[in-house]
Amino acid sequence: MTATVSRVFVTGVGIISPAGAGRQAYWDGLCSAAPHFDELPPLYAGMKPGALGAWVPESAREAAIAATKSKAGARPRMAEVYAAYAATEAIEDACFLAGDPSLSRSVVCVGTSDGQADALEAIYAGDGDGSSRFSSAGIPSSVAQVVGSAGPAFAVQATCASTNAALSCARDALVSGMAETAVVVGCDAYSQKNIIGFSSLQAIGPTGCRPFSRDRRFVTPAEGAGALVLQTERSLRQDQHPYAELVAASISNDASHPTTPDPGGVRRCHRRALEEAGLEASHIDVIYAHGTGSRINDEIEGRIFVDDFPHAAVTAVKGTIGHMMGAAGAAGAVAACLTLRHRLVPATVVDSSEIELDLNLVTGAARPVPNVRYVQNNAFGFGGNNAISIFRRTS
Amino acid sequence: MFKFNFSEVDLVTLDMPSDSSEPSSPPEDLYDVIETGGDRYRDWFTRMCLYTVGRSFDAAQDAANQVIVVGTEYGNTPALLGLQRAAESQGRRMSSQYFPSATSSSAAAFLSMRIGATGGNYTINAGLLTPIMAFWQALCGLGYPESSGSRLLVGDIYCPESRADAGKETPELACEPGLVHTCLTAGSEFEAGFEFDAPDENDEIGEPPPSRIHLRGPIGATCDRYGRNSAFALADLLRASRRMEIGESVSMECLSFRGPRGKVTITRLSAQGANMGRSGR
Repeated sequence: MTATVSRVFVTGVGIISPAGAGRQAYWDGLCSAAPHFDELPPLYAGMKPGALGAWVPESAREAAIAATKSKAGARPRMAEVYAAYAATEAIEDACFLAGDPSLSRSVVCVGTSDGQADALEAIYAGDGDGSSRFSSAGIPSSVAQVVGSAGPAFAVQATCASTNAALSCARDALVSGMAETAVVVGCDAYSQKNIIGFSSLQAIGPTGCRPFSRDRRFVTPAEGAGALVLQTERSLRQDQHPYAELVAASISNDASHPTTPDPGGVRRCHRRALEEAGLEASHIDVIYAHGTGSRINDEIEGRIFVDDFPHAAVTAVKGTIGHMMGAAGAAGAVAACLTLRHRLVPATVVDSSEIELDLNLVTGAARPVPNVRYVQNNAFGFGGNNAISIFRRTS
Repeated sequence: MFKFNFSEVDLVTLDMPSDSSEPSSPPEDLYDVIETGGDRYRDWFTRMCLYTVGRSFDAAQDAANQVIVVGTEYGNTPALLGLQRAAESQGRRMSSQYFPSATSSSAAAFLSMRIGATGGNYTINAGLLTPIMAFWQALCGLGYPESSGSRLLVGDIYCPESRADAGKETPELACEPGLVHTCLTAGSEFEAGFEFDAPDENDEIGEPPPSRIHLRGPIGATCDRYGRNSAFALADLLRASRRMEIGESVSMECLSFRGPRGKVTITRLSAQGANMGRSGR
């Protein structure tokens, strides 16, 4: 590949999550460190009742549908709605107006694990509306309409590592000169298929996600979308104030087991991300862990942090907003940018006495990090998917 | 511009009745190639991905650090539906092994496991531009640190639900099951350039051209007989490239109705066997 650009910046972010609609609600929710969990209805005979999930609140959901009404069909497909909402907020945050000529050829890259699962589930239930399509390509197409882009638009699917994988693709697009601007969205909406799957693995239950705690047991599935506007250095305008420079977005695969992460594979991805960024582990100040609250993920990830990143402040947002599946990397990426902006790390919803390893986990209250320079964002998924992005503070 | 080499091009097809998710005549050597372990949880998309890679000449080579790019519009949709059917019919007796086979990127995951590819994988859906974006991403993968190549698979093995979904956008395009596979490596035998464009609303007079995929030169006239499944066009593009003389080019253009248009042009730079070292990202 002939590289034409070397530096890529984040100029706008947007998000809708179980903490509400918009980045302010999200940041307030993370900093309050209070879980936003509700009980899931059983979906099939024998599914244990009382399992917890985390959903976009009804008021935020209605706001998103209203804001994207002209793009939604008779029956809104929620991944598309959430994605469009987050993208709209992100481009406004980047000081772009809808229809801005700078966006007309931008790349739209959407990371999603379940795509338009609700539309497919409606068809399965014999309840399809006859016109709605379920192809995941519909999501980037809708985001492109919102953005006002006629450039390449595509979905990237890599289970719960999807958004960081999408960041990797978008970074490739900008570095290779395909475009000067990219809108990257991570999104997933409530999916029956997902709940059934996690239930069959006995991975969901009546206690919420407790990342890195000794008594952790369950994943708490969630929904939502996060978006980032990426720009090349030469396309930056005077009125824009980048949150961060995206210095790495690396992927790897364990090639080992469909559901159990491999310590060597996860370490490999950390090494690749640091190499891509030209950094040592000691340079990383803050890590947004994947931190699902499952026994095996947190043990593997936590040991890497203890061994290689002892000085980094670690936090895991899934104890607050749940696991947004393919959008999990977007939740981390948006939070990473907000940490660089506010110089603050939200706390993980566990007590310091509960932490299993000798981990530098932020607990209790949000921790000020006035000298923060580099923030790392981890996202891993079934199928051995690993993806890590690293953000640098801009001067 | 990307410089690269590529290995053999394999196109697999299945005779799949339009109202069924099961082929009428699967490959006779299917289970010799993909083995039977875990097969009851797989759909035909995953099976055919494992089959085409498993029978390829280079499959026995060291695949560590390869990047896997799967370009597909509907991919593992049958497995997603199968999980819901299993939950409904089996309740809590349902095996936990259904779920890993029923994600939108299951085929790429099981392929990584089967051949030991640790470079990471992308499952890409760009609608009618899927072959262009998947090819581009696979070429980007050649520049990743440690990359030993990119394994590219593009196509769909349709189930009735996915046929119906595709038909809502392009009822005029047939949905023939098929999957193309090749392995890209760093090299200097070929060069690929990508162009993206879109209809300019101000310049449009009348209706925009219909959605379609076509090839242009150097061998024969423009070919635009392709249906919805871009596996067939991409296979023809790569095979035509293989036959080209030095300096000749062939292009594949994908047009979506009122949406973006993508074009890739491959030019032969040197005779077969030319190589160059890996380049860092």
